[in-house]
Parts: sequence; structure tokens; C-alpha cells
Amino acid sequence: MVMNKKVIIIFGIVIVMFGAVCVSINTYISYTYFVKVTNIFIQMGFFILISFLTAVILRYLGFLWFSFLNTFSITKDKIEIPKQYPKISIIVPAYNEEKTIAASIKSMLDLDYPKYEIVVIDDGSKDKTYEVANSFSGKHGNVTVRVFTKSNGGKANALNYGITHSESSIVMCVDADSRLQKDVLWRMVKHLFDPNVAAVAGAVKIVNTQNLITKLQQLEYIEGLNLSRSGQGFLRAVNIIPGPIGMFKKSALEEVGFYDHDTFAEDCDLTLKLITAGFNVAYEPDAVAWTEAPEDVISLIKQRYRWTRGILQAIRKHSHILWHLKKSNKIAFFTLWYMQFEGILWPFMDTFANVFLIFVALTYGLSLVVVSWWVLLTIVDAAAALFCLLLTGESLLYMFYVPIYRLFYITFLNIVKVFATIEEWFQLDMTWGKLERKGRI
Amino acid sequence: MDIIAFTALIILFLIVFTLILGVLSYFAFKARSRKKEKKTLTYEEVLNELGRKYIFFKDEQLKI
Repeated sequence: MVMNKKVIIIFGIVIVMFGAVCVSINTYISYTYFVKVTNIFIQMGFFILISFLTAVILRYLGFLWFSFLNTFSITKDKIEIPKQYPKISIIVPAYNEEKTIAASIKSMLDLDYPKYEIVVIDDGSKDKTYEVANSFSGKHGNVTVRVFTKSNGGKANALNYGITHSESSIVMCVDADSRLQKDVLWRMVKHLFDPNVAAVAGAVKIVNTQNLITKLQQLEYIEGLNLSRSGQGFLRAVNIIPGPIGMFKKSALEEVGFYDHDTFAEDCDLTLKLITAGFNVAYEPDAVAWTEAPEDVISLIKQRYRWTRGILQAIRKHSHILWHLKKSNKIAFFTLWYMQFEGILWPFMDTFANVFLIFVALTYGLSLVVVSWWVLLTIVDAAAALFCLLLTGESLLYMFYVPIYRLFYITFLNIVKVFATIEEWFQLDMTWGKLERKGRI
Repeated sequence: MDIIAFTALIILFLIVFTLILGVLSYFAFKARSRKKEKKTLTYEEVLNELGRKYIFFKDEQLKI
């Protein structure tokens, strides 16, 4: 969709004004208290709060702006689309997925694309995953389903097995519990006609939004994860191609050595390898995969614990780039620094801010600073959520969850991230921690 | 009590509640993980636990 230049300029001005107002209010209120208190440590705390909240507001507004540009990108529509679409292989690694694999394959058989194959790799499951998947083996019109079974070697190993056994030059890696929207293949593949783009990330949404925890996760996926991916997509530097939906040029995967199994976030690691090698990674907001989210608190912690440690492992693995701006790829350099901010600094700062605000309120009774901190963050969240909900066509009722999302959900997850970061720092042992599927897709 | 102070009180209460809940849930998760890890028992451990000389299995337990 090509958007009028005037609309882009107006949206840009609105974002800048909104940001300026938020930053000014935050600075004014915090500075008022900053000069009131005499304790040097409290003053330092206020200084940190002002800086951090300003950085967070700018981060949100930056992503809103880039996401807007990505969605209504002019360059995207300039890509020449060939008359014949290339064949695509969909790689589905599965381990103990007997509850979800049938629904997943069925959704993949029904995609709107001229020619593709589905390659299922049973990674040594202990249940009937192979039997269920194998019942779909064979030709289904223009789609071929091939099912392989091998001894258990982990997700990265299963994905590599599937990629090397695939028959196409373009592969799409999905999770066994993913349900794909009908038009994902042609929506994503057109990005790969750009010779510089090696991979495309799709948008992930949650299928089981029946309780508060999953509804908050849906809001997080729409407002947090997909918004930042969309913003990064404009810069062609998406830092994590999500497990449920990612498309790759096989030649690029061969060049970077496929998936590695030395981190718990193989998707993040592979994306960083591609960016470091100089490839571009795009984002397609209209290519949607639905996935099953954890329905209880402990399962959610288990998932986020693994994500956090996995991402930190991937950052550590590529950390040599952090200190060599001149020698390394510039996009990879900035991506890794941004990931440090998002993955490490943010959770710690958020938790610090909470503890600091409690202390300040109890000691000095500064209630306005507490309210302004939370109201400003909630307003920024609400603006991002409204933009994303309008863009994706999701129910606006999710707006009611924004205050709970900010007050409760983000604070809660940041505590988990802080603990996971500390454990990763000391390199404590961890296991994969596979989620129990409820079979809701 | 003015509206700002009241709102601040509610926010602070929720923050404290969330912080405590977050820490408790995290340790509950760790305790559960440790318990699951301990699910693997050695032959000798089972013998000790049963206090017998042999372990007897039913036919269906031996099917892989």
C-alpha cells in the first residue's frame, strides 16, 4: 500500500509532538522532585529514572514511526514480482506433538500458493507424533507431504535435517503448533525477490485467548513483539525471526551454516548470524501464524525463562561484534547493542524503578512522581496498542487490558527476566523446558 | 486524601503485590523444575526405597 506523503508527514509530526509532551512531563515532574531532595543517592535515582523513561518513550515512538513506514512502505511495493512463484518447502520439526500436529498439517495443506511441500521431522517423539503425521504422507493436490523420523537431537538439529532434505530453494520454518493464515506463503516470498533479503519474519498471534494470562500475552505479541519487528522490518534488520513463522533462502542458510544447537534460542542465533553475514531480514505484518500460548503462570515463567537465557546466550555468542564497530557489520553492531538494552538493561531498570519508587514514596511521600511514572508508561503503551490494534484489525477491547498489562504483566515478566539473567550470568544449568500443549490450535 | 495520593497508593500496592508474586512464582517454578529433574531414579535407589532384594515389573511396564 502506497501512502500519501502528506499523511506520512502528519503522522510523523503527531509522533514527535506526542513524544515531546511525554518526555517534557516526565522531565518536569522528576526534576521538580530532583531539586527538592537533598540526598545524593535519591537525586541519582531520579536522574536514572528520567533518562530511562525518556529512552523507553523514544524507543516506543521510534518503533511506532518505523512500523508505520514499514506497513505503508513504498519500497516494498517497488519489488518486481516474477510471473512464476518458486516452490517452497515448509519445515515442521515435531517432538511429542501428537495433540497439535494433525491440526497444524491440516492448516498447512490449505494454503493459498501454487506449489509447495510440507516436510515433517519427528525428532524421536515418545508419543504418536510420527504415526499421526505419517497418516498425511503423500500428494494432496499441489502439495506433497513428506514425513521423516529420527532419533532425538533437539529442535535445531531437526530443522537442519528438514532443510537439507527439502527440495526447494526457499524454506519456511514453522513450529509444530503453528497454524498458518492462508496467504502467508505468497505474502512472505515476495520479500525474497529482493536479492539482499535472506529471510522474512511473519507476525505471531495467540490462538487460545480464553483467560487473562493469554489475553495479556496476545496484547504483548501485538503491541510489543510484532510492533518492534515491524519497526525493525523497515530497516530490514529484524533481530529475531520467530519460531512459528520464518522464511529463508536456502543458499543464505548454507552460507551461515544453518541452525546451531549451542543456544536455547536457535531462531535468534540464526537471525544474528544472517545479519552479521550482511544479509537483510524483512518483516511481513500481514503473514500471520497462530500459536498456543502458556495458560498458567508457571508455564509462562518456564517459556520466558528459556527465551531470556536463550537470547542472552545468542548475544554472548556474537558479543565480539559489540566492541568492533569499524571491523564488523554496522547493522549487526547496532542490533546487538539494542538487544542489550532490551534484554538486559530494560528488565533491570524497570525492577529498579519499582523498588526506588516504593522507597521514595515511603520515605518522602512523593505520590505525584509515582503516578506520573505509571501514567506516562501506560499512555505510551496505550498509544502503541491502539496503533497496532487498528492496524491488525484485532478487537479494540484489548485496550481495557493495557493498564493491567503495564502495572502487573510487564513488572511480573521483568522479575523473571532479571532472575534468568542472573542465572545466565553465572551460567547455571538449564533444560529445554518444553511446554505442555493443550491442543487448542 | 487527594486523588493523586490515592492513585499512588493503589499503584504502589499493586507494584508491591506484583513484585512479591513474581519472586514467589519464580521460586515455585525453580522448585518444580528441580522436582522434575529428580524424576530419574537409579536401580539401586529404587531397591533402597522398596527395601527388597529385587524389583518386579508388570508386562505392560516393560513395553517400550
